[in-house]
Amino acid sequence: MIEEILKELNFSKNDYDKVVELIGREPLITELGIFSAMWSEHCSYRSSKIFLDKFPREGENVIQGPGENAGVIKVTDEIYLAFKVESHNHPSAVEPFQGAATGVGGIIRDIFTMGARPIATLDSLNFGDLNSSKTRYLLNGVVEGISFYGNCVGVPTVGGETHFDPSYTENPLVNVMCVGILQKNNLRKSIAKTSKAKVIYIGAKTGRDGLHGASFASGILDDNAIKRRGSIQVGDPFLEKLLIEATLEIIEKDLIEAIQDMGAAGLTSSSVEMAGKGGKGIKLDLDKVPLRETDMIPFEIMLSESQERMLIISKIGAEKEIKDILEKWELDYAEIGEITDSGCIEIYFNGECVCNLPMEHLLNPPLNLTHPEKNIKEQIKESPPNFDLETLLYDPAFGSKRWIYEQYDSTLFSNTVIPPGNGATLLRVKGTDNFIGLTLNSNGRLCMIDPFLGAETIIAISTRRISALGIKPAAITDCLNFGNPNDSQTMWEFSECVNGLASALKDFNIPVVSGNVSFYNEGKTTRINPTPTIGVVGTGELKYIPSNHFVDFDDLIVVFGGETKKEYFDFNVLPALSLDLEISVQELIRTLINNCLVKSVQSIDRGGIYLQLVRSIYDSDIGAKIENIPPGFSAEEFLLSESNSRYLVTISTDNIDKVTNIAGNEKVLIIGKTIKDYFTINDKFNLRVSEIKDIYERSFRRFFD
Amino acid sequence: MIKFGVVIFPGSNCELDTIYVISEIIKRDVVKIWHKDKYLPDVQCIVLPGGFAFGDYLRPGAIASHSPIMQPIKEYVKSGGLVLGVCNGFQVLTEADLLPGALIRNIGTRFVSKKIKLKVENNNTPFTSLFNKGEIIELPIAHKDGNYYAPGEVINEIKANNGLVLSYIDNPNGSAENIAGIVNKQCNVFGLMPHPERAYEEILGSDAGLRIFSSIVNYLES
Repeated sequence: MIEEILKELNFSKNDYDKVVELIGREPLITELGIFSAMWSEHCSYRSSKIFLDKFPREGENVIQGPGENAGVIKVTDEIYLAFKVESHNHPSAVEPFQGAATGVGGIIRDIFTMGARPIATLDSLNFGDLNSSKTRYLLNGVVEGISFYGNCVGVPTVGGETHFDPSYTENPLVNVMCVGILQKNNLRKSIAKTSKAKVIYIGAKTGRDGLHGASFASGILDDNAIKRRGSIQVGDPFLEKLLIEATLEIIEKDLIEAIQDMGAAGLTSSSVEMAGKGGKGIKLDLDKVPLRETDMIPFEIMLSESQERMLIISKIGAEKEIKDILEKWELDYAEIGEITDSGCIEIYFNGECVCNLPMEHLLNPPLNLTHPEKNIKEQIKESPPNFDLETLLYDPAFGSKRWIYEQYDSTLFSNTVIPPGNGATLLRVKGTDNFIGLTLNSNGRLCMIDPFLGAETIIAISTRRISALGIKPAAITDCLNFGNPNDSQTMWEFSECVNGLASALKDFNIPVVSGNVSFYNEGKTTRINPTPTIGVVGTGELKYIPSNHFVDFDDLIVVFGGETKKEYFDFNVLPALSLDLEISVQELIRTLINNCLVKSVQSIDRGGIYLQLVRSIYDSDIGAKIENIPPGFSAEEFLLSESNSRYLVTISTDNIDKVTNIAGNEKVLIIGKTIKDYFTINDKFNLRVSEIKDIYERSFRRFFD
Repeated sequence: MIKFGVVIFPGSNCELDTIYVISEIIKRDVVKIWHKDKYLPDVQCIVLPGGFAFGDYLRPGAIASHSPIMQPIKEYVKSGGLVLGVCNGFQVLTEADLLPGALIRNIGTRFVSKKIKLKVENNNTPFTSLFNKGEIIELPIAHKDGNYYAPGEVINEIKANNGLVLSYIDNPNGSAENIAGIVNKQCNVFGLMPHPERAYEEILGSDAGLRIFSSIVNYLES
């Protein structure tokens, strides 16, 4: 009997025995449910905690590091940014529309919970082969889900990436990052400090949807998981919009002490974490929880993951004013308990105590330590790069993703200066001279080949994209997507990736302020490539806004920075990376931009110089004449090189000497100039600008139109 | 000084940009008007902003058009007051019968967010006097239900009354006659799908939207 319950809860017999030992008795069913949620990988980070301690977390601009609903950094003395990335992989694999939609809703709640108005989201999507109808079904559903939820909730979707690799066939990755802006005084945390303060439940009524969501995300995606489709939550962006407005109004009026959204493990994790962080206890009366279904038992009420719900701890005496605001926004609410000095979570239902557990046991699960060990020999196949420049234009992975981002409102709030489609997005901060640069990137293949160097390379690529905007990378948020943590190979990949990220971040002096770990990304036959997804936020003032495409005819086209070598992401040896060089090239490009010496700047990574040339033409109607391929290279070898630490820039002939004076001759390689109407390479390759635009526009879109 | 009123429905989301343009760019007074209010404050122009009023449940604008505030707005329109409806606000105006026709699902059924080119068909209105007739301008759109539909005779009437104000150069949503924005017969109610409140400075790629707000100010102050 107990074995069946444990299986249903995804809770091991070892853990069960440990619970019995800790509390000195058999747990009640509600108590067992609460343990299973709080000790799940998703809530407790029990497999990853000890590795994550290696990340740099301090910085002069850091206001709040990991451990809260989101990280917070300073833009000015008065204005802060809150941001975080989170995965919604498992729900999206089973039901792509709702999975992605509720992923957007969940991360947005983490941001306004901090007192910040959400102003932007970005999505990192990894799918299997686009030629499979299953992949197209998943991609279409995910994009529609993001579009449906993000547009309606009123938060612009300003960037992201979409990649394809067979390792994601059964288990696509949907990682969503949200950024919010707040006035210093509105920062709130999830720490309840005052006994007798009231616990107020706000938002959607509780139903059976999303039951076991946290434990669902802590198991692999086999047939049983698919049957758990009932676990998938359903999102209501309109309700979330009301929650945003009501919550921000309540915070603005300084009426609450602590706040947390009911995300994974719903009422359980929000109540336990808020009271636990403050060293307090909490008493809940489940008879008062607004319910959507009849005959729900305490176990179900505590573990439901119904969406669009918040839990707040009010300031004593502020209850009436809070309720007035909630009524104005026509939100359901209920006072369901209070903070106590007991250090325990006590739960009552029908007058009966159904749970009484010390917080410390719930918040400190035994660590799950699998010894990291590399036990799979090179398994990745070398796929020779496609060296045909013209057919590459038809490759959907290479082609424009406009079909995706045109389904997202990206201009709401009138901050968007450099729009989606460019590797990094630039927003302005109204009322200041400051700008925000945002990017969200992953490259699982690189980390599969070499998890340490691959992870370092992701940091180099991501920060390079922010520096291409002319502003300095300030902090990162990370979503670490991996396989089963009980597998030593997975933990080796995980540990190497974390070490690589930490090493690069220390060199760059960039802190991690928030993040999320997603394990168990495995299907029946495939295991995903190790995939750290990195969100970088840059902040600062700008003297010139660099264009992301060609600006004028007769400008010099320059490859700026490191040396171009015959290095390609499709090879089994990664491009060499010197972090010192990377850091100095990024500093130089920011200097050149702020001295108005370059017109357009694009960072070079996947797809090499060639992709950036095509993008420039696509966005500008200006052509290019490439005539200076260095000796020893074919045009293809040179233009498709994916060597690190390089930018594609255009410079007016008047300024080229100034640029070489600042940067040194060896960093400036003139490869051609901008011209009218044609894209030509050494007079061999010759296409009309209109043709390039048409092909690049359709190469991805044609799979869906 | 003239004062604008911006109506807030639950689910509106373009009110922040609208209020920003009015207060910080054209520097005029602006007040929020709550959808449940039964009386209008003393304002010279009312803006129904974009967003998803009531989550677009039923049909975009359908529930909002029955809000208590719509009754005094109808009287205000009768007495000649200016009303600007943007995107979801345009949808509310058609649902409330303050403008003819309807905005149905885009051809292609998907949400479309991009910058588009528009032609100013009529500059003889309080909302477009600072444009030249025939001028091509650029504004962002972001909608799923922007496909303007009306029966042929209604469209003929709109045209006969010079009601066609903005038309799309490359029709993004299937709108009849490329209609992007219209005024009523009395020329005091203007609805358009593009977002002027997102195009008010060069850093945003276009300031054409600002000229709509400036036209209103010009009209009211002269």
